Amino acid sequence: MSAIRIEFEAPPSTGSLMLRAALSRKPGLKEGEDLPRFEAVVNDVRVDQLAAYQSICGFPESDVLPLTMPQIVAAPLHLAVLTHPEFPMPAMGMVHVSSRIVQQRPIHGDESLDIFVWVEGQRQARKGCEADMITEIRIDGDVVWESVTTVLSTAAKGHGKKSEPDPIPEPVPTRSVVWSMATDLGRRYGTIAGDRNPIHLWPITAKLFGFKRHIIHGMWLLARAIAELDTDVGDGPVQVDVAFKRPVFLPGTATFSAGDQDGSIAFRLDNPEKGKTHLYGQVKRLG
Amino acid sequence: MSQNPVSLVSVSPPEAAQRVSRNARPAAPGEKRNRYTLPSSLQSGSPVGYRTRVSLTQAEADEAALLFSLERPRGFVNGGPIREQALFEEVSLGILTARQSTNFRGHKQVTLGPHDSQQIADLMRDLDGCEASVLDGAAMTHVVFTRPYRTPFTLLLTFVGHHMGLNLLTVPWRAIAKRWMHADDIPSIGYLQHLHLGILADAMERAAVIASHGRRKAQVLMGPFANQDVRKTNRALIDRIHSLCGLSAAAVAEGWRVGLVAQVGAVEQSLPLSEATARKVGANLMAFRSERIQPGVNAEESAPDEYQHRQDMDVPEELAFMAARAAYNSFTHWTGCERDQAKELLLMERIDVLTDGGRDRLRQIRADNNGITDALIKNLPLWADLPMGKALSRNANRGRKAFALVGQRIYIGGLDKGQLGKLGLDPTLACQAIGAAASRSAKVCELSGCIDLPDDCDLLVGTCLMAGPVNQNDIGKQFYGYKDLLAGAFEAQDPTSMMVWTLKAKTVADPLGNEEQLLNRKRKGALVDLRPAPHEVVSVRVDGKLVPMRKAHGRTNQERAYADVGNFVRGPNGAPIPGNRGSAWPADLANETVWKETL
Repeated sequence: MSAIRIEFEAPPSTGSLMLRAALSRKPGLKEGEDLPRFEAVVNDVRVDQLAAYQSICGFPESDVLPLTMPQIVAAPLHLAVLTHPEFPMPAMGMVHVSSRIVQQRPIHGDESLDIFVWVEGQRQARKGCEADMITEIRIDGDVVWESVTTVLSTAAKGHGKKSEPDPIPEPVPTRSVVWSMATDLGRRYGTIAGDRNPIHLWPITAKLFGFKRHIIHGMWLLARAIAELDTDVGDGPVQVDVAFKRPVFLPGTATFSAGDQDGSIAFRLDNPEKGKTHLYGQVKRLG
Repeated sequence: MSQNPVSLVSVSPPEAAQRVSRNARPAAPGEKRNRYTLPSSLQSGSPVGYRTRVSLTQAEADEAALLFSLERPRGFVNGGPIREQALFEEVSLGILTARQSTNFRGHKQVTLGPHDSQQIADLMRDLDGCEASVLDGAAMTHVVFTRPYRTPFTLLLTFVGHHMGLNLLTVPWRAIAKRWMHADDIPSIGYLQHLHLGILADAMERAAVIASHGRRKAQVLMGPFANQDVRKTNRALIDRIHSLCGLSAAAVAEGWRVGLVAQVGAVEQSLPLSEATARKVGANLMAFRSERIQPGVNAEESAPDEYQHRQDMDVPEELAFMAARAAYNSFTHWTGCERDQAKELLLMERIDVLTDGGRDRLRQIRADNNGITDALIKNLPLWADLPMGKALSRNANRGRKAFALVGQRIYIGGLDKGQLGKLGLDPTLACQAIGAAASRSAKVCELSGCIDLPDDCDLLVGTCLMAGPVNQNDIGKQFYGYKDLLAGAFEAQDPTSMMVWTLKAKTVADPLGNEEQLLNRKRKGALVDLRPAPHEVVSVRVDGKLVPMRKAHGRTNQERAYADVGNFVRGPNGAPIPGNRGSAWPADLANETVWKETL
């Protein structure tokens, strides 16, 4: 099957895509079926909501996009792919399990971005299948930012084997701080990021999807972590890897800690009461 | 009026077998937490956190000793603009940590830039009662507001000392007078406001020097705002200061008023304080603030083993001498009196608990204060106590521990007001000076207790500044015919005791759980976290607008001051307390120049 390519003149509205995601009924991947290649493209994208994004994630005001912000600029394309009628798996219920972001240079708020997103193929996981959504952002033809967003869909058969979990880094912290997250954080962030997935909004809407309460967006957690790391991230080429382990329910608190580990900055977010890890990752300066 | 040099004197640790340190661990899952277990986490915007003392070499201590005989600046020179980080470190050593009572937050601060500093300097020059020259060219000026001391203890005092037959009338009257006229139930409660301000003034003077590694000094002025008469004379100008700093009429009605003005600027001749030593001292000052040391009172039966050890240690006589010298330095400095006069005015009774006479005296004080508590409880109006489930009498009973005096050396400090009057000294300023004197001498002891601190000791000297025993004695004086605590030691005078400080050589720090009570509303809801975040008590006036310090972009401060020194409490195997280390304020903001303007 040839690639399915969607081209936009402007980023699509996430509201209508969300509605489509909520209403669509898809069977999932059948055994032996592979996820075909889907591509989405939009050029000359101008960033808005920069100040609001910086504020809600805790970044100082600046004309430079926070490292994590291109992900939400590209989010309408991700949603467009996932809700495409030919895309075999349902968008609702997909879980963001990990991300890798590589930024070559800081992106300024007044720069025009060409965004290219694609996904192709899948691999079996324990409870379903995982797919990598690749995002590439170019400015004047040069790739300045790219990410790999790994999502898990349970609408496919998993291999069921329990694998050894990756070791969670335990750096000697140079930062350790307890975050308090208000109950309306998901709604406020969702408005700015264009992600009004019901699981982030209210306890009752989250319960419809099997959560005991609403949860904060994983990308907010990552953005807040990058904001907390501040100068540890730097302005040069950088790579961030993160694994999302457990959701953070709202309202809630979580302990963020970070420190040097093997030449990188390792970070993690834990539940202060139960000690369980919500996410962990590392920032590596490149070059 | 020059001050005598102070030295920091090392204290010998006990032999290795007698050394103990706080060996606390977090509560195991399902185990009931107590004050001896480590907190599970810390969520606080304060620069303090849970800190440990940092060992100083004797050479570093000698360098730091200059902080205890600082003279006033004679003028300021252009030292360049102030970075936000420098301001943070200075306020961390000043208003954010200057010790107040355990459950009262009675200060707030507005910091002005160079232009506003000049404006306030011009205003100050017209005020009556300035104890030193108002200087030009300050890089910034801190204006500190203060309010009367009001806590659950003073609520209890509303019901104390009334005539049985009249208390239905006199209790409401006293409550009204307290709320609307800011009248105190007993004089020593009023003194607390002044004592705390004096402690802060002394801390701010040191803070300017430590935060700038000796490049800046502070000219702290309290005289024009001290007593009611001088405030009345200065009223119009004080109103202008209030207006410049945005103090609202509602805040004034609540009792807030300007208490001190600290002009800060670079000095021509920097003080010989290296950055490395300044940072160690700064980190130690955070550690002193992260504990309430009450020497000895934790040696209860349920306490872990490390609190039960007897240690063959004593406070060296030379240290006690230096502590007293620091106190007299401070008193002289803040009242402007001559040193010889200070020795006559500052009444100090020393109780050496290790002597028979000392033990007897301590027993007598305890017995008197317990007698006062008994009388107080007996005299409480039942119509108020019974409907509250006897909460008033329970609280009064609970106070006995707060008024306990334990230590090796105990000093009771006070003043003879008649003598002050004869010398024309302002009694309010003298009371502030007592607070400053007590605080300065305590810092001399605490820092001395860090010299060559062995790894297996938390500290070598613990001090505790207390007003509780004085307040309790004052209740007895006002209502039950007791004499002042200092009456026996100064029979020929008319003494008013104001403060007690206790001193003990020891190696184990107090349980951290004591402090957690102040930080965890679930554990002790009535207590207030005394360790405020910058945005809660400091506003910076920039371009005519008051901006809460370190509150921006949806964030508030999580940085611990002098965190680079790394003196954080850890659990077994070096495990950190989650949240204790804090996180640095974004560098872009911390490196910003606070005020772009220059004079």
